[in-house]
Amino acid sequence: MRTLPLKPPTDEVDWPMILAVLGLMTIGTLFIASTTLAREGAETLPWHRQEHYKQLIWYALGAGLGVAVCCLGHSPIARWSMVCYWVSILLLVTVLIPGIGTQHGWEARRWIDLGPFQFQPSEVAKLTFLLMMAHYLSRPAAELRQPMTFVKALGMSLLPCALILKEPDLGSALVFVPMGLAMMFVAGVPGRFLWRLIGGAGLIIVLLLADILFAPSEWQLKLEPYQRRRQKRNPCSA
Amino acid sequence: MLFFDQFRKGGERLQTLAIGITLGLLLLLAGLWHIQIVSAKRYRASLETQTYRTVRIPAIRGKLLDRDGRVLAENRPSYNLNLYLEELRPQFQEAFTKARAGRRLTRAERAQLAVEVRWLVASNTIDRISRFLGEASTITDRDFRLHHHQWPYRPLAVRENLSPAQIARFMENAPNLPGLDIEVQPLRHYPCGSMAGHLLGYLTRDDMARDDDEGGFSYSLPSYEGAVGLEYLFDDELRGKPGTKSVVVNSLCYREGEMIWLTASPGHNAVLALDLPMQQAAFEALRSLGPGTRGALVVMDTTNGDVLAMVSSPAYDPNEFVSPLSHERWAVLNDPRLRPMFNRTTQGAYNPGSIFKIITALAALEHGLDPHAQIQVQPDPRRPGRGAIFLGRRKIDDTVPPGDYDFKRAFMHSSNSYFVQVGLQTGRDRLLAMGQQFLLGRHFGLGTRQEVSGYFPSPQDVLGIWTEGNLANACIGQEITVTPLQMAVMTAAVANGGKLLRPRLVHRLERAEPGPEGAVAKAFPPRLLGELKVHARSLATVREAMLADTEEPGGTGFAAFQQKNPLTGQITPRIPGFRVAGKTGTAQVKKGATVIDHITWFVAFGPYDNARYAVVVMVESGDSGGRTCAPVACRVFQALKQRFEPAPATAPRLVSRK
Repeated sequence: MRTLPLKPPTDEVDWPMILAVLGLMTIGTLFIASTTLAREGAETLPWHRQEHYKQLIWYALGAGLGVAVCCLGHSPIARWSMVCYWVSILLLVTVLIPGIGTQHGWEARRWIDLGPFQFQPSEVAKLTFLLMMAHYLSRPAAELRQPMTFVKALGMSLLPCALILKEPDLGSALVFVPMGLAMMFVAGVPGRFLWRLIGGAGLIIVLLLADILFAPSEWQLKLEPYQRRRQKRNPCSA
Repeated sequence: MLFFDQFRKGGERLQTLAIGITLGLLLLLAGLWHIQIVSAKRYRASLETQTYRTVRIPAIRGKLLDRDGRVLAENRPSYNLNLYLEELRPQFQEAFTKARAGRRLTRAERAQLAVEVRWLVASNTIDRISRFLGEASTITDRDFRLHHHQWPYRPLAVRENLSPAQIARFMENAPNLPGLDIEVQPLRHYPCGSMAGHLLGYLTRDDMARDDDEGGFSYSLPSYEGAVGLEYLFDDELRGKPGTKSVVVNSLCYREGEMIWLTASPGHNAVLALDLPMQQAAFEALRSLGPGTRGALVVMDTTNGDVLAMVSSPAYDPNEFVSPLSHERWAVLNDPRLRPMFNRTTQGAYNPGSIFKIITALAALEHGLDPHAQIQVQPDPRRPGRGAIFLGRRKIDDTVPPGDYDFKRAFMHSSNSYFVQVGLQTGRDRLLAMGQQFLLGRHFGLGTRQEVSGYFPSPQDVLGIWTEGNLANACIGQEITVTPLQMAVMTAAVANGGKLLRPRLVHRLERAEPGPEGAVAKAFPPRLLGELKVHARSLATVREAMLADTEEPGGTGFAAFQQKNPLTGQITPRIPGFRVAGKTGTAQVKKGATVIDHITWFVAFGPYDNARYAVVVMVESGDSGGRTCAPVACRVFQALKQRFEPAPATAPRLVSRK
């Protein structure tokens, strides 16, 4: 499927990116430390139970994984990306089954319990979706111009989005479509497809917002109170 | 540059995307700037209100003193045991970790567990201290949870008013009892207990924040406010100015520190007209009739209106109200028959009965009654040897035998027929006008929340309503009601030649810490309410008749004030050298036509030649004025003589035996 030559691997280190990541890591740890240390009884916990230390452990694990992925190169990742995507879709379906997905005292069923820790399939889905989309869009410009390619790409963006909405987790769900569209845009999907889609979607969003904010209450869509508050305070953040 | 280089990489579309994302990030940055810099002041202000709790410190309440500075109400240190919740926090955390035992819990479960664990730790601590103090704790789960929810920064009062033994036991074990400490708070104390309970009144506790006062207090330390009596009347002056302190709290509302902004300034002391030894004598005199006596006693200085003693029985002990009262105790204090909460001296309106004949007599004498004229008392055909008066078909019984009576004889024997006849001759308007001169039917405006005016109509009020029968009843004190204090003012006016004096309860308010302005903050001089428009001769005639009541054989008060030597048969006064003039009264309480109860009275003044003291005794359900009340008054006059007669300059002479 891949026809364009990819950038050859180099020994060059992408310093800006590494610095940016390190900076984010530092700030993140400090934030966690400053908010959790004031909590009642925080100082009596052993160090490995304190949140900012936990975060450092995750950093180490993540960095190790990152190095491993770099060593692996991107061709195996590209090959397996489609499989990973469908597996994560499967997980997104699984989490909706009451016996498997847990609610954690909240309304939404988002977690899969694995004993010592839980994970949210939607987080995994974000990553696998990204890889799959990159792989799928890496094709000649002529193919990208075909409407069918666009429709498939859009479909694969909407599928996780719909599943996550079912959990429900509006925030995570809304990530997929803009992500997919941005990738399609950069990859070279014709602008007219994208603009039409954005125009149509924009119109629907405006209508929905108008319904939520201004319609008589019996015609309004049901939103959680916190979501409604977010709408009122800052409609652009939706 | 590193930053802009990124925009030159990749194709045109990638650059567009990069710019789009950068713009989005700039928007976030602008939002951050708005929150952190533009709205900073607002957030800082709300932070301040979250970290400070303003607490009101009640001032030390002023004392109540008798006329010579003897203490009637003061403040005693109360040692209270407080639980400081912030010091229990490590224990809360430890117990929580143990109770959780590494289980996975939802947020709601965690919160529930935390609440349970806190109560467990606190109740264990309280339980341990209760064992040391030898007293069961009274704090419930609900109280604790409420306290922790509302005021986690405020110490929880575990026990108030510890005994010295309990303090010692606590101090011994204090190191093993974290979170507990003793705090000293002033507590109202009435050293003479129920002796002057009604006059002093009592305090009610007010634990809640008082936002209406100076506003903005998160909570007030327990403060008290006068409910009734002098504690109520001078509440503002006694209370002083509360201070303010700030408690610094952390994000969980636990206490971190304290700062006192304004120290409390103590309230004024009130110096009463009351004389404590006299009050005690009066209290004991009235109690000599029995513990369940329902009665009132007032001793008043006839020269200036000073209330030297004021007793209502049964009495309550104001100390009881300082700590919360049990329901049982409350029920006892509100017994519908005994009514210990009721100040009978000013709150009780009773038929005066025959003591009202003083006013009937004055009205008749002013109208031209000749005190020497003989008026006939008709015999009662049903009761041989007793008189009666017939008004149409109605008969009013008399206690005296039939015959001719002049004024003095009728007065000292308290003849109903005589006074009904002269009263009817005098007429309704003149009689009622005379009563109004004595300020009957009006209250004195004492401001103690314990005063009623009694029922005494003006002539217009009863125009066309009162029949001759009603007027006849009024002549002998049946149709109208008065308070014992009103009768004291009446007696004093008869004794002092017609001056109506306002009953003076308090001499002055004094500053707790005398400044350059001197000690007296406010003085209450004696006040004349009016003067009787009667001839001195009429008053003298009444006074003579009152003297005859206690000194001449046959007078209704004779037996109480004179004693007969059983061996020699010689009659001597019970109070040598102190002549008392008085009038008895026995009013009937009727239900329909039957008499169900008696209100007995004795009003008197003395010494006769130089009147100084007026004494009023009223007893509900007494036997008769002469038998029930006059002996009580005699005891009071004995005490008055002992207390105020100038002591002999030398030691008493030994009486040589012949």
